[in-house]
Amino acid sequence: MSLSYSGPARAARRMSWFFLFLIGVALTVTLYFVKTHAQSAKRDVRELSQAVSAEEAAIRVLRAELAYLESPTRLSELNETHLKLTPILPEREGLTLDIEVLFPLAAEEDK
Amino acid sequence: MTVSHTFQDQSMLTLADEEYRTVAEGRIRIRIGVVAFVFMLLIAIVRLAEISLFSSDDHQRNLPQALKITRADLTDRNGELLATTLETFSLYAEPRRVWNPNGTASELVKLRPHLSREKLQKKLETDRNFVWLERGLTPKERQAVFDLGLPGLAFRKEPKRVYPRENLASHMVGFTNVDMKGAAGAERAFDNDLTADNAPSIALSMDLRVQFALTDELAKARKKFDALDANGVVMDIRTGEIIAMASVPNFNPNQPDTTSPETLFNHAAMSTYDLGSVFKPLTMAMALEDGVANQTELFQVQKPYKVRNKFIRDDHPSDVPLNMIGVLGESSNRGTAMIAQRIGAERQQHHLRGLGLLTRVDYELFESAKPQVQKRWGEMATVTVSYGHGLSVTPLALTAAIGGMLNDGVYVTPTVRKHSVASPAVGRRVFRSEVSQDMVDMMRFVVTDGTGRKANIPGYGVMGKTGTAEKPSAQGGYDEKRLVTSFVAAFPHSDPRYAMIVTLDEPKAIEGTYGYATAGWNAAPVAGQVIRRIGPILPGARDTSQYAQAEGAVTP
Repeated sequence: MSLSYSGPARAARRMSWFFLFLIGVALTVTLYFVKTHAQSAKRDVRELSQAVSAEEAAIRVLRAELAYLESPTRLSELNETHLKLTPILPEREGLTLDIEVLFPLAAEEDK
Repeated sequence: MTVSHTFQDQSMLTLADEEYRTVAEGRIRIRIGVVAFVFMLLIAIVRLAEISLFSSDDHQRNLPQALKITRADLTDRNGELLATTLETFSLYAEPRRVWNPNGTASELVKLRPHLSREKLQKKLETDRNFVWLERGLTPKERQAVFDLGLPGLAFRKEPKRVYPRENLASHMVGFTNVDMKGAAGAERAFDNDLTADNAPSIALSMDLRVQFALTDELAKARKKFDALDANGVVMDIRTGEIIAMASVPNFNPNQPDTTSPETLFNHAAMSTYDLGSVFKPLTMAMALEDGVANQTELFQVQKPYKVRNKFIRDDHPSDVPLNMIGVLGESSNRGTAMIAQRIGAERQQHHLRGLGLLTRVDYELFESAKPQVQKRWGEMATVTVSYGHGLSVTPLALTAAIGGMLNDGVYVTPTVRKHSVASPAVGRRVFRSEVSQDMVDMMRFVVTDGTGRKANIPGYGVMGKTGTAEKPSAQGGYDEKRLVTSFVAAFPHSDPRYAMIVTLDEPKAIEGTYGYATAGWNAAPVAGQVIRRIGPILPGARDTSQYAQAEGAVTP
């Protein structure tokens, strides 16, 4: 016994295949757009990450340059060349109580 | 339509519809064609999907990948940058894309004359996917090569460790090798912490300002006294933090390969010396701790003193008997020997072990030398060790030991990492509190009335002890002309917080030292000069004892 499709059944079958094909095409097109969108978003993220990295790298360079410029060795050499400043000597430092010893109040002097 | 009839046998009747057969064959062919077409279409779709979804770039894959190594910064205790990682550009070539290796090599050498033309050409003619040509180019250098417009050349970003302070603190900070792995100093000690994911920067205990003052004064002293090298340590004795540690000559960690090996050596932590009389305060403390001597007893140092048939020599023998503080102030070997004999070898070793002088300093850095200890520790060794001969230790180890003695008798292991307030430093008691206070006063006396007068900086209550040791001679014994001079100091007297040492290796007598090359003439004034500069910087360094008794005293 062999199976044979009648005319309407064959048409229905063909329609099913056609719709499946259409669904496949629709899915492919959707996938394409989703993929394109994802790639676009990915590219944006990558560009932003690169921009952040570049900024961070620039900050690191600036910090390193600042550290070099502020290096005590360099500042000392510049000072010796241009300013010739010297540190305040301990002999010239004092506490509040030193003022009373060095500069006694006039009233106490009178006593 | 053709119909054939065989009338003799009905069963053999065959109907042949030629038209139907032709149409059927045509349909089969069409179906085969459709199936083939669909199959080809499917292959194309699958391939497109593969390219679209799982695209891979063989060309990119073959190129060298950017190094992802990151390394956290190192800073001093105040957040001043000591080491950081910057991006540099490394030049590479894809030899298969280089049209003219000869011309490319010539052009490159014109711009980068230090490169070898022959080597470059050889690299560019190889059959490999890529070859490194030069690493670590600055943005300007990269642009210059880029402007040549040579095909097959490209750049890749690579991290590079940079030390903006250059020579300053080079021994403490250390450096990394070409693979960004810690090779020395803190870079090596904290390698794992620095390379962990999202690792925060590490703050060292060092104060860059103090480090500079110490290094600067050591460099001046080395030049002035024509010493082989000079080194020093400044330490917070309460927390064990090493505020500064310097050894001169030093090196530039940005170019560790170009420096001479001697400069890489951190003498403060890696060289062991017989440090001489700076050991005497420890001997006094041991005697007071064990109760074998007191401060009022007089020692007959004016007479020749013999131990196991050997005379103990005093450079400046006293004419009168001295008490303990006098022995320390005059730096009498005889008096110290008498005290050491009472302590005995066993107790002396016990105390030295407690003070960390018989083992390497157990701190974070790998740069820490083991002390050189005598194998036979008899009576003579006990006597010589008591005044700093026959036991070679690093200046760092002695600073920590003196710090432990003056820190209310509590030894705190040194550290190069900034102390956290949340985790207080743990120490071990080595001397009683009363003994520590006695030593504070005795070491202050050495600076006010003894051999360390040139380190007496007003306002900082400096305590200290000089030490002059002869270096071992190649012919055996000691060489009188080759000295190691040291000054170990602490301040302020009212509440000791900082200990420091200055050591000069083979300083020479100069004009103004009256022919002397001893510690009182070189190491002590250098230490004083350092304290003069760092005193105003360090918190709690100012001496308040002169005001402590005054009512309502204002203290900084």
